[in-house]
Amino acid sequence: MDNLSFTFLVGLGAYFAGIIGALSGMGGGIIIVPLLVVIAGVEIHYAIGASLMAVIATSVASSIVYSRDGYCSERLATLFFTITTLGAVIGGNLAAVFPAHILSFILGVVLLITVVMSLIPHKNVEGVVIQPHDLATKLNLNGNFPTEKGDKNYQVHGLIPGYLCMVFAGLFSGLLGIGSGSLQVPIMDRIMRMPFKVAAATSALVIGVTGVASAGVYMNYGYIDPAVAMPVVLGNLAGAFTGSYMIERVATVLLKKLFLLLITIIAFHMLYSGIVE
Amino acid sequence: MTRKQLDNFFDVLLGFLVIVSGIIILIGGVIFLLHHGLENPDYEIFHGVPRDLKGIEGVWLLLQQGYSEGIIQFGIFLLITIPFIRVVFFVLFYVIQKEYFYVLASLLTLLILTYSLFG
Repeated sequence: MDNLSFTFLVGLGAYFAGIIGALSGMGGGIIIVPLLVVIAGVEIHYAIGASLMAVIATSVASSIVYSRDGYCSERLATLFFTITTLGAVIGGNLAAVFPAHILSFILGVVLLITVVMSLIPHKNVEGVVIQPHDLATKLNLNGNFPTEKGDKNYQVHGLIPGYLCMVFAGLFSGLLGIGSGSLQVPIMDRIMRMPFKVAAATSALVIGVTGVASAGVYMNYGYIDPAVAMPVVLGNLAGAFTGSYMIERVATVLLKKLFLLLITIIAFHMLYSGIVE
Repeated sequence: MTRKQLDNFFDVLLGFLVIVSGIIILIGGVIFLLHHGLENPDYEIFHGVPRDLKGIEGVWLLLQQGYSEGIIQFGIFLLITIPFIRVVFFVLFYVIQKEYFYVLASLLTLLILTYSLFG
């Protein structure tokens, strides 16, 4: 395949991945890597390098939008940066050592976990407000988020387990070139009992910074091939914009279910190729 | 300058940088396809991107030599610096607010990021 066809094919695929990511809230990375590996036949290390660049791009764009809405907890994000970046550097170095089929397998597992988590319904969308947690209060982490009825208070619980779990978000980001938003949000809104929108906005910020930590490792190992990354970044950004435009205007519930099915199929494919290799 | 104004300024700055890096990647991409569009590269085997393209010195080298891949890589590198700049901004913000725990946390983050990018 020549570069022109490759760019067109990959760009189109990344575009749809961007739409799916925006509509399903699951992010582009976990779709882009299998897309590149399975359909475009790209070696997995180039795939994770390209995917990560797209992840950073969409994270920056979406965190700018979120910051205007006032949902993001910057202090919590700052706290998380310290452990996710560490995890990402470790993960990135592991990606250099793990053979491709192991990475495929791990990606399949992460994809399945993502699907399962998105099928479990959210209960306390507005967070749990009981007794404020001492440490969280001391670190000024409790806050407000806007609702239709005005600002509502939320509290951060389970700070230490939540913080420790975040290392996995970093690890998988570095290992697989994904954002790990699908791991971060459940950590925040289930373990730490925060409102869903605050969790989503905060994770957008964390994803970008975590991505930089992995990107450094990737650049130094040579995983970022410009010819692969270029269509992925551009296509995915365009798709993400399209997807967020569609959210208000298109019946997304059915689409979301279709996407989940698609991702499940991809997950099993990755698991299969991981074992059979 | 109020906190809100500072926030808005940085949002605009970061948004501008995203757009600029996107445009640079696009321009590099177009030039790349004009020169190499009909070549048949092999992305199925990992060669490790050639020595020149690795790391940050590599980006600068390529750019100086006028390779379109260098332009793309430069755009990518610019993209990567955006969250880095955001953390630098956080350090400043926490210093102004005298929240020293978070000054420490953001500085530690910068340390890890710098090690990753340049180590």
